[in-house]
Amino acid sequence: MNLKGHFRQQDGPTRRTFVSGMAASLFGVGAMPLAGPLAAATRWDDAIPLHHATAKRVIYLFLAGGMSQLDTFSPKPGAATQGPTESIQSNAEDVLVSQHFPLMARHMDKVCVIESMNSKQGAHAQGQYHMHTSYELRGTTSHPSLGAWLNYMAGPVNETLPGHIAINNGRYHASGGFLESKHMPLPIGSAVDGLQHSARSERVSERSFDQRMARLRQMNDAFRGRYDTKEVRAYSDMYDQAIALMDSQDLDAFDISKEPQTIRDAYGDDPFGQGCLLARRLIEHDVRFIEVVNDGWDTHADNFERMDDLCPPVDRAISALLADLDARGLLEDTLVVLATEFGRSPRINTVRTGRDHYPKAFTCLLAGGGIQGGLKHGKTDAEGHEVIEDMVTVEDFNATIAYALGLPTEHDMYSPAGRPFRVAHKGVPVKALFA
Amino acid sequence: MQLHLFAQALLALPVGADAPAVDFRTEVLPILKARCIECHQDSATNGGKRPKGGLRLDGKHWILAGTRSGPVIVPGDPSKSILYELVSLPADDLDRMPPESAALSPAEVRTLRTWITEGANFGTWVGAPASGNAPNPAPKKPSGKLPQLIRELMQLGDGLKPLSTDQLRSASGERAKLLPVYPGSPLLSVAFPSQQGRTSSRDIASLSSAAANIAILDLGRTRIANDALKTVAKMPLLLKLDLRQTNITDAGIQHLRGLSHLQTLNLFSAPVSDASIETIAGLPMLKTVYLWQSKVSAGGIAQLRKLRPDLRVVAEANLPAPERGGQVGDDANGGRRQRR
Repeated sequence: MNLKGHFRQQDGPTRRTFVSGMAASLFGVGAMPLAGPLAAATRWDDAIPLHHATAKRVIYLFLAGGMSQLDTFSPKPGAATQGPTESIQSNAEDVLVSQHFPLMARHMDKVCVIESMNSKQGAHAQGQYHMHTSYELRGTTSHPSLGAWLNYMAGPVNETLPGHIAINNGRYHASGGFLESKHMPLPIGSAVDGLQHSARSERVSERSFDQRMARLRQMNDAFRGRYDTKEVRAYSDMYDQAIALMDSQDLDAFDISKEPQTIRDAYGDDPFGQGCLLARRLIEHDVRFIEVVNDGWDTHADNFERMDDLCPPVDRAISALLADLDARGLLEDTLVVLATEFGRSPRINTVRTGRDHYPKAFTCLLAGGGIQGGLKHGKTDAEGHEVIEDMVTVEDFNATIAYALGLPTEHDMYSPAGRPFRVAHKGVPVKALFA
Repeated sequence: MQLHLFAQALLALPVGADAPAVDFRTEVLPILKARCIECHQDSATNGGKRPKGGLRLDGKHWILAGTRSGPVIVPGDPSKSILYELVSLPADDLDRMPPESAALSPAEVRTLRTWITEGANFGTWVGAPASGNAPNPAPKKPSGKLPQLIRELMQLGDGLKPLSTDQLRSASGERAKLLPVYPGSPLLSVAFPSQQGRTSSRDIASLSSAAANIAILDLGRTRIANDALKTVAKMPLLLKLDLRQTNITDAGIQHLRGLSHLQTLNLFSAPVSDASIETIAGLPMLKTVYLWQSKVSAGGIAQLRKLRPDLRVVAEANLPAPERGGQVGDDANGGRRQRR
């Protein structure tokens, strides 16, 4: 034992060691199975001070690689930095979109464009991690992403489906961080295939299956009682969740082949479009947080040509999603987020006709869930180099999402290691964005 | 074992409070000066460099002020004092202070610990005055405006008596989930998550006893029949009613006439026809009605818009036209292709 370890032991428990013991015994509380139909109401009395919410659910669209703000939702017509991309007037008076978003131009009255996004993370892994968790990527702590926080703090609505689902694989995946493993997103690799291996094998009768599970429970209960640790619970929670899912009345939600072909076509016959459609189906079944990833936005080279391929499926999918949610009356309490890890440089990289990483000033979108539509928030200078008005940091952006969901942004939650964390780190919600 | 050592440490502490073992000026201040203040001081004395982490340790006022996230020492309780925690972390922890040089010696850490345990007494030391530069620009003040829906719900629920737990329990029956519309509100939001397929009019009947408090009611995708809306009619403060994808027809809608606060009515994909237009138009506070895939005709929609120009009538989905080959006018349920 080295000297430091020795002195630490002699020194009695620090807050870290003390709280970790407490957390180990308390942390699962919020996630205990809710007994009876009233139980959810008791959540309001829990230690987590939830407040009024304007949104019940989130569809979080992540454009991985770094979306070019000038070539999408924050064009600067006439600026030297704009390059060949042209802009078109949207149906919201103050909002221009690039020529690549003709369909979205008809829906910007539902959308709030945040043009003054600011991040300090200029590399992909760090930027994606920061966007999802509000914290910096570090070796020592794994932070939960927003979907995990939501399900941990406010609980699931539909208790038979996972509350947190991630569709399409990105380089960085949303995660449950230090929260118990049940808050990790359920990954769906392909929307068209839906949820695989979710049915009972035909060779096992229902009765036999129940018997097997009862036997398993019998064998495990003693062990679970003796070793009630996070790791043991993670294992048995996985079984409980899987069985709840197999028995769920809502399993159909995962099957987009149940959708009329016209709807499937409207979203676009590609992984992102079908992913957005699956997200809509899951929202209808009260899944609280769904992320859909669209990769490939790292346009260091041939930025302008690549926009021709990258934008149309996204334009189509988001337009369809907003229109569909709105027509079903679901956009009122569903928050749709379009995020990316950082923007791209206004300065055009002339050697490769590309744009490079640019965290200083970029653009994200919010729509529905109580957000004011047709709004442009924040300003950058004439060429898009610097934020000059109403800067929104990544943490503020996430705090705004948390605020919409009624999650407390100033409440310390303790990780199992006993360190305090907040749902959006030091972010302050931008309340001006709400209707 | 740990507890035992902890107890020992407690016993080792001096009992007489009037004779503190640690003197701030001679024992603690030298540690701060040598190891902390270089980064945690007034920007004016540090070539304009802002103090790290928004924390100044060069004056009593600033040490007690802590950071934007809260105090860094809790007098009497080192286990709650971040300053103590950060200097006592293991060397490989990225959060350990000081970050780029050797850790404090065990003796130094113990001195800090004892000083905090004894109540963090500064003696006569004041250090840098409170009038200096604040370590951070003032935090952004969020505007106090609450979202409109919340303001309306607050107004609507003002003076209403909340239901008791027993009343809530009996009203929820077997399947309903009753929640306050926001914590502390007497108004309720009611839904049947994951139970829609099993929810029938019988499950709605039990809501009668909570009817006066229900402001938001989601009956979407349930199996209720028209008679369920007789119960709904007894909810005078109902603000939002969701009947999407139910079998509710005109015979049910007529029960809704008296809902004088109703703002949102969702009839997406419900077999409601032109016969309901008059009832819908007569709802005085109605702001939005969803009628996509209902049985209301184009003429009915036009009539409703004429009767109520202020009303948002959502009668179609503004979906993008299919990319290629597909026909725009396709019946929404027709033309299903094989699953890819």
